[in-house]
Amino acid sequence: MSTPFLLSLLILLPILSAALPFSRLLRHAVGPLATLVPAAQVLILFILWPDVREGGQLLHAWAWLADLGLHLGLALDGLSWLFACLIAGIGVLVFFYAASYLHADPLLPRLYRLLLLFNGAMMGVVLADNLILLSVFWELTSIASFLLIGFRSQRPEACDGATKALLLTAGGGLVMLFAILAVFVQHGTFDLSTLRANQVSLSSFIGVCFLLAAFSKSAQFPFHIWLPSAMEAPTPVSAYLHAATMVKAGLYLVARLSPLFAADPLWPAATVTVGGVTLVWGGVLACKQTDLKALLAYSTVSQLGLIMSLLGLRTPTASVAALLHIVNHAAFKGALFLTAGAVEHATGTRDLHQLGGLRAAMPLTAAAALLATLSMAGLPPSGGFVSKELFYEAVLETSSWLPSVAVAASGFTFLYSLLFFHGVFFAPPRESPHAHETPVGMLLPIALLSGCALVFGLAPPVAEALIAPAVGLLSAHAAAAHLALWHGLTPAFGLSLLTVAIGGAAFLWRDALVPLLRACKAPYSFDRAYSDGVLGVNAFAVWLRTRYMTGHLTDYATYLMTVLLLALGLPLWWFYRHTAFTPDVAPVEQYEIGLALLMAIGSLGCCVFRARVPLVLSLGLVGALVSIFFVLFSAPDLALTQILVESVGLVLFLLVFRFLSPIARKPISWSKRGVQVALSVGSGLVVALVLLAANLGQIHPSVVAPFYLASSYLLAGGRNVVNVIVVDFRGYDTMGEITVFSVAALAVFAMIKLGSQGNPGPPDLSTPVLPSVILRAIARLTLHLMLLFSVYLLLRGHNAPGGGFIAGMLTAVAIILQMIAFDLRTFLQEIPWNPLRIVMTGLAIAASTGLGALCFGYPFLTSAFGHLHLPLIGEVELVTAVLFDFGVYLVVVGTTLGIIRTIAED
Amino acid sequence: MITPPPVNWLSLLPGLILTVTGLLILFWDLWMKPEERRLLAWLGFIGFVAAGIVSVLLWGRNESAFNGMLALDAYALFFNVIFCVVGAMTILMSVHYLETVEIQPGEYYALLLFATVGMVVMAAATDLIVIFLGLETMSIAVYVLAGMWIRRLQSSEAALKYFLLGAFASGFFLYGIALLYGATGSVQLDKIATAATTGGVSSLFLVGIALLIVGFGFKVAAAPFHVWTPDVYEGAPTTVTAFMAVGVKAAAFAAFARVFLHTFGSLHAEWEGILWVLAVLTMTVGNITALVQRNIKRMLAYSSIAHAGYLLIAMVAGRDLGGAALLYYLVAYGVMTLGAFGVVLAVGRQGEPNEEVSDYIGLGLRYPVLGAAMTVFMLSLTGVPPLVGFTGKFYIFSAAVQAGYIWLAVLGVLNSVISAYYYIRVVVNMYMYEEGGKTIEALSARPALVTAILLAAVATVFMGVFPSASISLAKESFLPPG
Repeated sequence: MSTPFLLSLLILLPILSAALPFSRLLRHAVGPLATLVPAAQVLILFILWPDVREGGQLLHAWAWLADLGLHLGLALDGLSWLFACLIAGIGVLVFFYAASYLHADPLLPRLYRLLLLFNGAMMGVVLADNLILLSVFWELTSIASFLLIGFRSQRPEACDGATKALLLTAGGGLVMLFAILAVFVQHGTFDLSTLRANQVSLSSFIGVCFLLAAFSKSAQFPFHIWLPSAMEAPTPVSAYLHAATMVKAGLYLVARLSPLFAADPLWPAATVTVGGVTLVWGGVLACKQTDLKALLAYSTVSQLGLIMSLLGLRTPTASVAALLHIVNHAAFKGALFLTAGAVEHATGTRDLHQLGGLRAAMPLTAAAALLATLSMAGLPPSGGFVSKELFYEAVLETSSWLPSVAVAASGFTFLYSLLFFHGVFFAPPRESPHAHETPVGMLLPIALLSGCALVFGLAPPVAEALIAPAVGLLSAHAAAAHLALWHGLTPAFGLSLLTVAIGGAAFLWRDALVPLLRACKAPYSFDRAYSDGVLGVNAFAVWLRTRYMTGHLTDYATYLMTVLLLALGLPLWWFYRHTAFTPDVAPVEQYEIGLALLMAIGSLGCCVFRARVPLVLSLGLVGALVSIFFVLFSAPDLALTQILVESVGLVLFLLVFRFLSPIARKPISWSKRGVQVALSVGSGLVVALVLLAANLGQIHPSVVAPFYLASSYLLAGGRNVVNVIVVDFRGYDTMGEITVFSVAALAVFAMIKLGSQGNPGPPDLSTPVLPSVILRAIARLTLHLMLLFSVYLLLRGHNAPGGGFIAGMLTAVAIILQMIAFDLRTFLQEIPWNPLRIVMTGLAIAASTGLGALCFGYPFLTSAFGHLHLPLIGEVELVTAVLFDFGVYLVVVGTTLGIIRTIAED
Repeated sequence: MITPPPVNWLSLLPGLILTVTGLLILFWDLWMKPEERRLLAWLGFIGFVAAGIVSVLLWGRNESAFNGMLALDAYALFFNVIFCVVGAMTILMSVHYLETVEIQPGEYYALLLFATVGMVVMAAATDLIVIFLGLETMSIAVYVLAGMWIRRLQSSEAALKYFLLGAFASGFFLYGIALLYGATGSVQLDKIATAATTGGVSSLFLVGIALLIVGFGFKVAAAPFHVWTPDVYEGAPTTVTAFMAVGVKAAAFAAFARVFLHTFGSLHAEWEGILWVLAVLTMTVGNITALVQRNIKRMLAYSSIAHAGYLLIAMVAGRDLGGAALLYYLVAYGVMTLGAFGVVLAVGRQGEPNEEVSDYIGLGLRYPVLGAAMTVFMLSLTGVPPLVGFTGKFYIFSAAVQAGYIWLAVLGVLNSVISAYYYIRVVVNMYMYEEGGKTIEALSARPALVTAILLAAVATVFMGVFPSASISLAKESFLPPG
């Protein structure tokens, strides 16, 4: 098998096996089957070992988004190999352990799925050569960790812990992504191998971003708060993710990137400082804990701090010490977590207050735990002792304050190690009736890990073989350092003795010291800061939902208007402030001011009135005044149309009102009303500003207007250009419009009829109010006059203001007047034609006019014209377009009549 | 009478096919027996497919029609294909759904086709008035579609809200066109572009641009003009919601990008600030509010707002890469969102829409295929590789980075992470809990819907794993600005 294939298999194997149907077919074999996966990884890593042993690197990239620099690049060198071994090796043991730990749990398949997913993602982190790929796998481990911490999803603590871990670690990952993008901008590549080959040195800013990611992932101060909360996860998960592998991802990142920041002074300073603070603070907090897993969690925080500061020192000794301690820590902390799980399994509790004397009931477990504890406390003959000696050696080589910090922290380490072991196995026995020796399935992994902790101490070459390929990558001269259990009477050994003395004394005085530690409480903690932040975001989201997205249309319109007014008003206002600009407007006449005032009163009426009739009347007033403005500004056609439409609209409103219940108004708060008033005034002002600004634009010569003006009479025989355009030049449009108009009318008829079916009938009309006699007299008189005038408007439309639409509206007004004056139904019965038929006739006439042209070989709707003198009316152009206009007329009359009739018939 | 000028019928062909199909459906519906009405769906489907195929066949042309009012270019054709696919997928999802919610199929399918005609016009238009025509053709049809679920009161509310606020926005848009005409003397895009590069920029011009942003912002559901979206998406029939979330948004972006990246390309510095703010607002408001949603349609509505924000990043990034990223992400967003709505449809049943996120409990365990598909869509919407949502976002963010908008990219990534919370919650519900879930109607009874979901899922995975073909297509289709 080719090496690229094996490399990809390391990642794909676990991820693909996570999709196996564990919960159905393989329910009973899930544990062993899943354990095969990390076992296979171990095998692959063993096969690949020769390739990396001598500092070699396996590199393979598959193209993906090649033009954007994104390859699926995987690389395996000594460092990756070491971490991969941890992931696979501890994976085997934890997978094996979990099968017994949760043996009857129906959720076991899910646990394995997630563990496999995590295993694949973690492999991805250490194997990725492409930084984007690295960041993706990084986030995937966070997600897997989130799901595993929240495994017991019915427990709120589990959900909170999961969320906290996700927010902090994924947030850190995000900062890293930012750093990666910055790297790409500066150096044009995402590939670590390219960066290394070019011997790039990255800026401090990028370094800080990477460090933030590493610190959050590896639970460094002050991001350590997520790790204790993550202890809600099932114990195998804690051992695997939160002690042995995932929390080491930050260390991996620092180790991996360190060469790229060789020239940067901030990188080592920040790493050593933060690591040192974490080392001490974690140790202090660990001593305060009563929960076994919490104690181990803080201990992990502290140990990670230790490794972090070692990585920051970057001396050969420190590099060896860091790598060795990574391996040691994985072994002893894994063993201790699994022990804690076994203890809980046996007694049902993890509380140190309720535990004690278990050495009798669980002797084998106690023996295994003893080895691991020795390693954690840094006592011979364990691996922990070797790495601790190296640690002291490394800090002694450097600055003055580090050794004292190291000794103090190690004192705490010694103390909590004893507290753990003594509290569980030696303290006065408590009642734990069911306590029993750990089952083999769980004991075996504990024993193996503890065995490793011992072997690394007794036979350092074993550990050396693991870390040797990686050491060369961290620092050039470190390969020479040989590990040994006994270094002789060195200063480091002296510090070790001092540590034991301090730690031992503290343990003897524990009854005074530990309560004192517990009594010290910070007034405000990072934990509080975190929860306040989360609650704040949540409150903000709820506020957005309830206060902003209210679901009320008025509110939404308010937002839109506000934004619009600000977007338009502010720049315009700024513009008027800063430019000497006098708009070129016509002088304002006094009567215009009067009209404008009337209009304002009408608009105000629309806001103030509560009943429908005055509302509609004020609206009508505004409309009528607008038509007067049309007259003043020489647009007679528009004025006529406007005034007639207003009248018909008014009557239709009044007719419809009979069917409506009174307007229900909710009381509006004064603040809201204030906003509405401000917006209304603001809209007026802004529109005025925009209009004035429009004055700035030069007048663009129209292309079409001169043509129409010149050829209206010549080509179409009419002097009223508007009308000529409507019925002749743009006859197609008008044809389409009246068709749409007719169809809309049909729809209106249908809707009124359908709508009234389910409703109660109109209000009782059995006692009709008789209209006044005067009105009836006037109505009868004016009917014929108005009809005659409408015919006049129709005929003269081609040359003077008028035309089919206006004439049609006038006829409709005449008919409506009759309806108001006389009884509605009797009047309607007097009209012999079906309104629909009138509409259709109108359409047919208009269409046939157009078709007539076709008969003479002209295009559709070509008009012909001649002139004819009629008495009284004068010269009339006998234009076929007039016939077309007549069609329009009929459509308008028919539609209006039809609507009124359908309403009345209801 | 003026003789009509020669017409480039080819440029109208896709739209014409859709229009004629819509009319055919309306007529055929008149004398069709109620139990045969499913055939209408297939007629509409054929119409969409035919128009799509014609658009593909026309590929490679670069012509202008109607005196520079319409363009027959790769950009328009690219969008035509998107619209036709969206329409065809919507029909696949509607076949069974219309019966459960008692919507008359005749009008429904015809309106779907007519709305698409509007979209086709918007994507091809090179004249502001024609864009407006397309916008209104599309919008009016969609207003009606949103209100077609007559038995659901929210549906009518949705239609009314959409219509009123939409009319508002159209008003702004028209006003903007008028001002631009005042500033430049033309409503044709190329002439406006020339005026912008040669004649300088007046305040009138800028106010006109601002108004166009309001109009487009409304249609693409960008904050603060997004307020209509949740109510409308929740109330409308689910198929229409899917159509709106994908088709309408794509159409609006088609016109938006043509006008801003192409015509106003030389004024990039003038409008990038506004769009920058809009993009950040849109992503943040969309994602934060989505966190607290319990109704999945509402959640997807906020998600679609958030995605409009990501698309706006591509607009801000501008230039060739941003434009191509925009086109590519629209496709990506389209397939995953259509798929997600498909699953929402599949989970609902007659009289029981099952639209709460809690209704998805245990779904993945009982319906593995549906669950897997939904997982794919949710993860892709979050932006998890190797799905198309990731490649799309990566493309957009790297366009932003290369154009120098690192902070915008970072805010975009931050928002993607926030969005993981609500997308993954659906997945968690589907797999992590078992009790209290809903049983759904047999999927075998709804082959068309299942086909649509699977197609979307396959596309989501395939285009993510093999992105290069679709990316180069997007690049080819995007007009180089300026």
